[in-house]
Amino acid sequence: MTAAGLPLPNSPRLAGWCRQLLARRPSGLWIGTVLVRRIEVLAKVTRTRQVDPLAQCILAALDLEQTSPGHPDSPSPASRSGPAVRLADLESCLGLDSSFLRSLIGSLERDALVVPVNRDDATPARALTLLGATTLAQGELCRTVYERRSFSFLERSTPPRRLRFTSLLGEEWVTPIASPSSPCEVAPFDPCVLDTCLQESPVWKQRHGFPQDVFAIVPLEGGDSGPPLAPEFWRRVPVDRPGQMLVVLSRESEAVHAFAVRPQDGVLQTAGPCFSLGDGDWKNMYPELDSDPPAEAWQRAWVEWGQGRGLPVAELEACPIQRAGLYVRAEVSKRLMGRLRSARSEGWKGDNWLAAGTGPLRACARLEIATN
Amino acid sequence: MTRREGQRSGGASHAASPPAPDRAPKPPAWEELFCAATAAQQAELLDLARRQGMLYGHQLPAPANGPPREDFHRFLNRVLAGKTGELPTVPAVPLDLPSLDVGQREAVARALATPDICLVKGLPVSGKSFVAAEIAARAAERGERVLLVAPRSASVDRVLELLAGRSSVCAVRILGRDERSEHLAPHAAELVFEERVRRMHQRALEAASRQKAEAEQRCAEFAAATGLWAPLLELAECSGQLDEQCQALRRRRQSIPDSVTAIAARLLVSLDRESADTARNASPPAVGDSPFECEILAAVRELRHAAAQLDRASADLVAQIQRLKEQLAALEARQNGLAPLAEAKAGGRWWTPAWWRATWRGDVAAQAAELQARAQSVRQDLARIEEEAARLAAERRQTEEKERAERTARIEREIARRGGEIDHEEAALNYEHALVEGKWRETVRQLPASTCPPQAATIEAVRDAHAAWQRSVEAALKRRTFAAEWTARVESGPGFLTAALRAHANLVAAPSSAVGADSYFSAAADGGPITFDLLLVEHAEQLAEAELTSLAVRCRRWVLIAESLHESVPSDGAYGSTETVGTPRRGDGRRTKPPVPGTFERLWSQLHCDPSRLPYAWQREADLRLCCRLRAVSLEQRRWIETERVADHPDIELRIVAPPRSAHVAADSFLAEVVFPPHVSLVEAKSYIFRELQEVAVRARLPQARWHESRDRLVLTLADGGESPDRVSSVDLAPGIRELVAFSMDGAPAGPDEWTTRAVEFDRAAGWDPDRARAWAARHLGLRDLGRTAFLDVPQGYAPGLAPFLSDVVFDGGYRIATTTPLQSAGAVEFIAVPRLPRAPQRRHKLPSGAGLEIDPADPRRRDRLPSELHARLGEAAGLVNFLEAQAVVRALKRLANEPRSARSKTDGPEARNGAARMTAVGVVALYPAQARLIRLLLAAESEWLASAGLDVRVDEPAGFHERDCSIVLVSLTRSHTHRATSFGDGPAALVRALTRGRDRLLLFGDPGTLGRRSEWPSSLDHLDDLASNRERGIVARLVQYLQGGGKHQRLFHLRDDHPTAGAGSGRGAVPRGVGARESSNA
Repeated sequence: MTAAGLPLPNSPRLAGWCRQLLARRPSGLWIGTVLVRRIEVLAKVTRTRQVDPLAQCILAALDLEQTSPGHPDSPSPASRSGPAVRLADLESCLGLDSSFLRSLIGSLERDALVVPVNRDDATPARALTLLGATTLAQGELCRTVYERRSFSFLERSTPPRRLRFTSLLGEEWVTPIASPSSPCEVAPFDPCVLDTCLQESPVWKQRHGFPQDVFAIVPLEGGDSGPPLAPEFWRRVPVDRPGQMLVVLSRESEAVHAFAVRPQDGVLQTAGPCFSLGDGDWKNMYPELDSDPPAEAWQRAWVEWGQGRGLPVAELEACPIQRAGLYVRAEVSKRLMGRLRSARSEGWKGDNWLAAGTGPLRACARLEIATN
Repeated sequence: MTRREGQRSGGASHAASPPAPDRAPKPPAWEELFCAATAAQQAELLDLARRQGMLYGHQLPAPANGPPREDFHRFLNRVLAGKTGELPTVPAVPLDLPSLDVGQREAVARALATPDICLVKGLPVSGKSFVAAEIAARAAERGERVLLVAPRSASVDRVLELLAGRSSVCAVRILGRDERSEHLAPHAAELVFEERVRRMHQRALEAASRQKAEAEQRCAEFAAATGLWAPLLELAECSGQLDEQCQALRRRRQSIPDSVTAIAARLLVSLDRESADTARNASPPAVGDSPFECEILAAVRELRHAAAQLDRASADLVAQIQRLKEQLAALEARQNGLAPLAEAKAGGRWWTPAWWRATWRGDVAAQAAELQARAQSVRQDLARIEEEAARLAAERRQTEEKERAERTARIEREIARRGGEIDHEEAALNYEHALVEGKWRETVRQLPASTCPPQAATIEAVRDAHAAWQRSVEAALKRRTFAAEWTARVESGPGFLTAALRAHANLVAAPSSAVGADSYFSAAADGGPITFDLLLVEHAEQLAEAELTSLAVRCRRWVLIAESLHESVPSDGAYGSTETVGTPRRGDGRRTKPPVPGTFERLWSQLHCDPSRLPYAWQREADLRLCCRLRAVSLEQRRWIETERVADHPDIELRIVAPPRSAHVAADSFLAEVVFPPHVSLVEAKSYIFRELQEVAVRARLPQARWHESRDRLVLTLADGGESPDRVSSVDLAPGIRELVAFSMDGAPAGPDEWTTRAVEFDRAAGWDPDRARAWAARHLGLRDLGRTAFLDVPQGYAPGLAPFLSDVVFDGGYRIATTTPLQSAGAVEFIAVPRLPRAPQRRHKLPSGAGLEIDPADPRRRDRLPSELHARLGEAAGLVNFLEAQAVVRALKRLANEPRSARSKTDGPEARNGAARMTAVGVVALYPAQARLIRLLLAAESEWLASAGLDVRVDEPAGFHERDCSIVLVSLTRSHTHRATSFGDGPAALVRALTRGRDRLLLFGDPGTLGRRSEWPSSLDHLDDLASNRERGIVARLVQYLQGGGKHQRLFHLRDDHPTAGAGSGRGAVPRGVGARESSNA
């Protein structure tokens, strides 16, 4: 991935975002750009839906007529092949209008719950399928359908390259890293990653928010067989939408939660994290979060902060920096303090945050300025 | 997954789910982007996907504006912008629909095959409603949901009527804002949503209660049978035991002979042993003491004793015989010894030793004689004893026989005795069995009829029957549970049926004003909007673009059916200007403003492949040169024509339109006409045009090109073949391609219309297949049939004599009538002139002036021309009245009533088919409401008499006959002005509707003078715009030709005199005084 990261905010905005997250009592805050691969593929999905009451009644009536001991085609209890119920019988059983009943049964046929059967007397007849019997017993229809589904993966932008599925909320805050006007070279996505996710245990899927109803991905070329009928080629085309997202990461106990920044207006979406990573996950994906940047990095951040406020570099560099928890303490000379006071900057008010580090994710700490 | 399923699924994570309103829009899903892309983009994307294995976001096309459901809008804009080149041709699968004609079948097939839109246009009474009904039924059979819409309820109800009885169609009728179900036809009223739910609920209630009662009764019956199974089992057990005993008896009976025989044998053996023992002086063996054994022993023993005695006697005799035989042998030996001596002595052969020995012995002869005597005696004794021995042997055999017989007889007696004993035992068992069987039958009889009784009185059968009974009980309980649940559900109210009908009705029919406003299928309804697979619009020509769009966004495919009131619709750009340089049509004497086409017409002009609109024309000019028109040339453009000669053929002239270069005119020069010298034939000219310009200059007559495929050729038909084959010439265009041009009989064309291209043929042998032939036709003929349109121009249901007249007068030959249909000369069309025309045809050449019989009831100055009582009862009815014409209509109806029913019409109209007595449906169409009201007033007193005479008369204005036809139609044209050209009714559409409602007979009432004046008026008139005025004038002009005796089908037309006394036979309906005098004077 060769995309450049999104620009970091200025100090007041950073301070605003960090302040919003302080209520969550984080043990550490980071800001930066995360890379996201959104893979839209055609998936085979198990879809369960309630059967409407009338359809349930029809299935029950079919079952009743079919398994009735007096029925000429009465099947053995274990077998559903062969027996059929005349529509006229069903009609008189339920008292429903013929055309309405046919339409209703037609929809059941399309759901493969009922199948037309040729009787010896050539009267139109229907029989319950095994799926129909199961549906009748369970009260809900479970079937396989094709659906285009989108799966989000976090990608580590620096080597070693890592991909990890995440249940991303707020896909709309992802900024594409390439557009038709400015195409960008992206590393190809390995479809095996998605297959690996599919192979994971249900517990894993539940923990990571991977959709449990998806049980297969339809490959672009062949390799898929019904039911249902294999879809056309164009529906199988996988689409990869690589993008990046400006997030503030909040480390809370053993998990790291990411909060997205809306690219249009820079508002931090604090209603809920756009993704969360458990203990082992974030250490594997973003190991830089496990350690504080070195003192030099904080020193450099402090100097850059001071430079932005017109303070002399030499004096800034002379200030000792201490780091503790969410705070970074800079001891300044009285002269420098005086200059800060005269500049009436927010630094004097004590609401300053520094972002230190060189990678795509930088550690954030509240700046405390004291005179030595 | 279908779009419908996708909408139903509604999962939040679904790629195509709509975005939350307070968020930025999600990137459009692939399916949406792909569907919105052009064909070229789609191909490019798929190619890229094949190469890369996937697509990346930046490679996708930019999303189109608007929400995803704006498909129709996009499609419409694309088509109306003329971007139809990307639309693939839709191949329609031929259907087996023998009830429809070829054009209708093609329309249905195309409507079912189209992935997006299909347009069907048809002339009045060409079977559009049949086509709509068939499309709806077929789509419903395929599991599609259809939205049927028409601007008028009558159109919707007509289709619903045609669909009645199609079990695949679950139709629902939605009421318009001002509609009430009691005003609908019965078949449509039954389908109104609320009514349908109510009826279904009522039926379901009845069925549920019936089912419940039956289930309860059955369960009670089964419960009553519970206690019968134990007795049945006991009886079966008892019966089984009895059966076993019977079996044992039978076995015993079978074993008796063997047993008795065995006893007898054993006794014989013992007797034999006894005999032996007796012989050895041993004690006799013990024998049984049963009577049978004793008797048989005694008898046998006695017989054997006798036999033993006989044996002994025989033995003595045998010993005697032995002795005698020995004696005889000795005697014979001695005789044998003496015989040679005796012979020698007797022969005197003294030289032999025998003679000497005989001599020495003594009297040898005496000795020999003695020996002979003794031997004879011994022989006699032997014979006697042997005879005695034989007698004894015979006696011995008799004794043995007797013993055997005695033994057998005794055995048989014993067997019979023992059998008799078993018979007694069996009889007792049978009696007991009968008792058990009686009890069994009685118990089985108590089982419920629905229970399968045991097949036999055995334990297994009872157990099987009991198991079956238990299954029946379970089923009955299940059924009772189901019946109770179903009853509870049905009794809970019709709500579930409402929801189900909303979900499963596969045909929703509504007037266009009702769609979107109903509470069941509109977007505002609970559960979200119902979407449809197919939109079927009848009379789509009457809907505006906004209306069509609002309907179409709810549907996946669209079939628009429109009525065409004229033979061709001017195009606004398909082939350039519609003005032609050829001979103008009759009645088109001046330029008209271009019409403002509706959405349907604009779509039609873009999608329909109409060969009759090709700009080509061939004509002989005044100097007999042959002119081929390649492009339409307007009068303005004609000023800019420049002529050039072809360099290598100076006698061929090119006419080029070369507009001056100015800011106002941006058109380029173009070759408009090619003129050939008189000696060049049409075939040569056509070949030249194709060779030089690669264009096939065809003049087609059909409004729709039709491809026909046979084994050896593909034929693109462009005109109906009416001429004989010898009038068709062939122009070879390319290898394997021929153009068939129809010429007039004498070889010289009578006019440009006579040079028509009947067809273009492609030989399969030359390598032409359908795809290649279509591509060739698109390139050289400009005919690319997208497969999305169909034109219906075959009249349906008209009597043979009526269709040609209507085709000529109303549609200027627009109807396509099979040439094989025999034209009947009987007057299918009658014109009753009010006032009467001159009798001599030559005097009719110049029609008189109008009679001035029309009256405006609203004009106070003319009130005296109408009886005051009628005037008062006319009320506020609008328009004009023509009292004399109204009276003529009444008289004509009376005349019809007096005709025999069989002579009135060949068929009875659909309205009249229901009654027990076959009524003739008669429609009286008046062009003005006031005239219709006046006729109704005049008929009020006659209605019962007319009904009793078998006439079902309906009087209305043309709008009242929408989607309604009758066997006989009387049209009161009403207008009768003294000097002015007048319009007729609301416009040509109403006039066409009035003229086309009758199926068997058409009776026209009008003032010939007023008609004649109207036919001569070239300008717009009254409320009619230019186009409408011209159309009306065309119809009237062609009618006037018939009045003047010059109609194309004149023999079908009958000018009838109206006699004021006609129909007075009823003795009723007296003409008001004064009016009759006025009528007489007019007549």
